[in-house]
Amino acid sequence: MNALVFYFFAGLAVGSAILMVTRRDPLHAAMCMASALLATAGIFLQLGAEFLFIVQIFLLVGAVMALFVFVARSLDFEAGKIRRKTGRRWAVAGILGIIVAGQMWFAIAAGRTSLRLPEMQANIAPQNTEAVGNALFHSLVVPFGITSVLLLVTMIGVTLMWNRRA
Amino acid sequence: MLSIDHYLALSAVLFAVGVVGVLARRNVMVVLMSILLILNAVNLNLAAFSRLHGTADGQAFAIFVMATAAAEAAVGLGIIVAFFRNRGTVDLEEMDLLKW
Amino acid sequence: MDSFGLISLPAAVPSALSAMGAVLALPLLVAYTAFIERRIAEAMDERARPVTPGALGLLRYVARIARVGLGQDEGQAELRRRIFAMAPAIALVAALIGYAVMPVGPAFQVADPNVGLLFILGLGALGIYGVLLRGEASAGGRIAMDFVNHAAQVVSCQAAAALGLLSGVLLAGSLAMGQIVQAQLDQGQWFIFYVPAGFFIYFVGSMAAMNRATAELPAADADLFSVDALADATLPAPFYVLADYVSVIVVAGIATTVFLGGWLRPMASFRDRVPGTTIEILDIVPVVAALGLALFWYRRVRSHRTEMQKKAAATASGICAFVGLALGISLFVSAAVMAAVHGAFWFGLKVGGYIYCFVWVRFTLLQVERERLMRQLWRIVIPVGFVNLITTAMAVVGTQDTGLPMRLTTIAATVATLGAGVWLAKYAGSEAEMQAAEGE
Repeated sequence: MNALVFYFFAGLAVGSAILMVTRRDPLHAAMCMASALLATAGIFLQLGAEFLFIVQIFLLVGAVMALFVFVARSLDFEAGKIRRKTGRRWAVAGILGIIVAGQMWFAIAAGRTSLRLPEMQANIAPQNTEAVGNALFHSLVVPFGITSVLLLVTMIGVTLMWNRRA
Repeated sequence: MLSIDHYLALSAVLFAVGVVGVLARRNVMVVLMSILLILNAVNLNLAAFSRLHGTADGQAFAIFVMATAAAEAAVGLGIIVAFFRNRGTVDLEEMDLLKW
Repeated sequence: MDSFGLISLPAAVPSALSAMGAVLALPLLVAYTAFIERRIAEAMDERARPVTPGALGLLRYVARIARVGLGQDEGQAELRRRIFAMAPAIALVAALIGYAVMPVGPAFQVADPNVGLLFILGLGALGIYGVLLRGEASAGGRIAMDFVNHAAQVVSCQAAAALGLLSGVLLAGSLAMGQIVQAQLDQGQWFIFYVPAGFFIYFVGSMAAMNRATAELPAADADLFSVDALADATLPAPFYVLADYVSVIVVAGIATTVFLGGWLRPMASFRDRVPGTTIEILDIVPVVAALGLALFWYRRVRSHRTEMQKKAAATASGICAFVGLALGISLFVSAAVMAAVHGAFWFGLKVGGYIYCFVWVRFTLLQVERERLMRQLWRIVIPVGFVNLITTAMAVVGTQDTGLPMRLTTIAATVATLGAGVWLAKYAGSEAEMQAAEGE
């Protein structure tokens, strides 16, 4: 059952990701990306990371991808505007992608024997949200503060940028 | 029966697809989305290892990655909109000037 | 199935039953919500009465919803329908699933994940796609842009509403919906009395997010797309209307759970029993009230003149009698049945009251145009939400550290929030007006 859930979401994620990269219309690409993110959220849930699951839906799918759709709409550029030949780019990118995937494949295969990782823990922490909160606010409180400053700076920067343009 | 390798392999595939997207596409929005996909693949790794070790630290790190991804998307889209208003295109290859 | 997150298998059977109940009941409730909204509008606003023939038109609404469910939407033939056909489904499903984690009484809850509240809010965020793609599926151009702006408004309003909710979460110390209700039972107080400012912020934010009482296009929508118009003309996507009303019910359910004590009855900690039995005294009150109302309406049946009024009174009497009998009989069956029936009753009553307030405000207060709403949202409501969050957190910590009663610390927090709100409304509000004048 667990494996079934995993394979379903994994297939969905990879399929949507490939569609995302190949669609020409950025709006379609954004929808495929949202689907890929949702599929990943499903895998988070299957891993027992409930808080991550919900943040993924809330933040990435609900906010970030909606922002993409929003911008894709409001720019209103012609989808097929960029139509010069891109065959070489694709060829190079494909080769590089295969190389990257091969390297990681090799790393995983090598790590399997040399690292001797333990088996997956069977049980999940029943209070996943609390566990994440504890980690965030105890051992990782400094990175947490830095991240919040980063977000604040981002907000101010984007607001300034928009106001100047308008 | 599901081992960590499954998650790592999936993450690697997503990562590679993201890399291909970044390199092959010329629409800046899709490039941004591909970067998001790469970060997402990293998150998958973090969550899987967090489960493997039975601690929540990895998930907390994934939260940081998500926050950074959101910030990146906001700034990136802001730049894209500004660029589009100036040049009327979102073609990556048109972005060849540091100042205009 | 040991590790698949939210639901464990043995617990899934009652969960599945509850889920089926919710999926079947909600569209019906939508019909009644729409109907009641029209009636309240009629009474308050002196709007034209919707044409409601036969048995109060109630059954007709049910039939219409069924027709909508089976419906043929011929309106969008020429549109980009291949990908956007799913837009209404997204809107409706996102709204419907929210009820999966809603505790409708101690017995009726499909699942109680420890991120329950965030789950509902996340689904609300997914509903954005319904709005965005709805614009996409409409004629495009100007209208599509209107929907994009509307989506931006919904996002902002949801941010404000979530800020309001967080104060309740702080008090409960949990995001699980069941735990939040339990915390209110343990602390002997509904959270609305601890954080009235949070409730108010949620009310304003959620109302603005609900297409209610706001921007011109959705406002006209509510009239054009009312359930009456729905079945008669084949409008583009009747599912949107369903989704809108379902999300009203979901929003009311969230407010009920977080601030109004969920399925708890008023004075839930007063547990004195009738001597010699296991029946609590206060549980008799709703039974008596419902039966009394039934009697009252029954007498009105005779005094009313027109056929319409007679039917209305008879229906009301019948409903009250049914509720009263159900509540009364459940008292004698068993403690579990009693808790379930009474819990569902109180939950429904509170949700109904909340929706009533929604409609009430919608038809009495001035309608605000979108720019003004957004400006005040970001300049006043959201900052006040942050102030409220911080002061509530200080109140909770203060109670834990010093042992002061929660009542005292939360009153201090509320006063501080109110002060900030007044100051902001004076300062930021006036500045906003100034800038608006400047812009013109």
